[in-house]
Amino acid sequence: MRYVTREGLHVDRIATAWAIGRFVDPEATFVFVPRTKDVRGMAETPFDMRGARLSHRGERCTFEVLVEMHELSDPALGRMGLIVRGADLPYEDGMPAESPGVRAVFDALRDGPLIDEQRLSIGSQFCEALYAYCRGSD
Amino acid sequence: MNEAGPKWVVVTWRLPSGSSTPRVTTWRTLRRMGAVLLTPGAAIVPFSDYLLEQCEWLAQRIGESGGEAWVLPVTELSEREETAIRERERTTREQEYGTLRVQAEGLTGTRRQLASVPSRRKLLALERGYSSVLARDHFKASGRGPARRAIELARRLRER
Repeated sequence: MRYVTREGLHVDRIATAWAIGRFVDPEATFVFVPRTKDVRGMAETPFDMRGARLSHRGERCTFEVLVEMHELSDPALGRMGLIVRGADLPYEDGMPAESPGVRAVFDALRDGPLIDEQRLSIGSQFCEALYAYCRGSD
Repeated sequence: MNEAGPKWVVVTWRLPSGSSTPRVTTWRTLRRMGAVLLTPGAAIVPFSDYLLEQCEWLAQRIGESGGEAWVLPVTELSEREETAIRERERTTREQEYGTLRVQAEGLTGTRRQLASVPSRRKLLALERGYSSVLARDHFKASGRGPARRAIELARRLRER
């Protein structure tokens, strides 16, 4: 399936794309569009875009919504979701200790001279490592 | 037509009357973003991709609560408006940094009378508080340095 999200990838979009490819749809391909695009009527499956079904819901980030939507019951993904949420949303007391560091890495990835395909490739490797860390810490 | 990119993002919203939860959530989110309230249903933050995205998620949450919200990137404000907004933001941050500094100094005591070694819990709370204010300090309030130094002193006292 073809998925679409906003360009200028950051932690939640990269982690969600990584999880889609890893756990939901190994054949997934991704395209990146300006944030002003209207998701209604899109041929692709939009995510982490305002109005998309697969997007923030309540206080949860898109990665957490994906995990819930596809009933991925691995506790490591639940823990990773909290870290991604803490890295994606404004500073909040009680966020996981790892979140500020994860945010710093993805800030650098977003603000560097890369294109989104490269951000996704490098960020996915980071997500794989973060997932391994979360599995190890359970 | 002005070709410059946006410098500010305005969020306007209206929530249905009734439950106070969406109101509290909206207020807390805006506070964490360091937004300046313009009127009871409008707030402004400096433009960045990050803050624009956070405004959009806030607007989505308001919509989920049965309200309505608009996210409006703004290219330019008048000098007078911009000064007033910066001043309001800075005043709030100065107060927050000032509170942290006083709390840190309360832990370390004065030169004449050193306090007992600060507890790890109190020190962590101060450091978290500082990180929280830092994340929403968009205009580098002058109280930042003194607050940071006071907290660092408390940490050194503990590590001594």
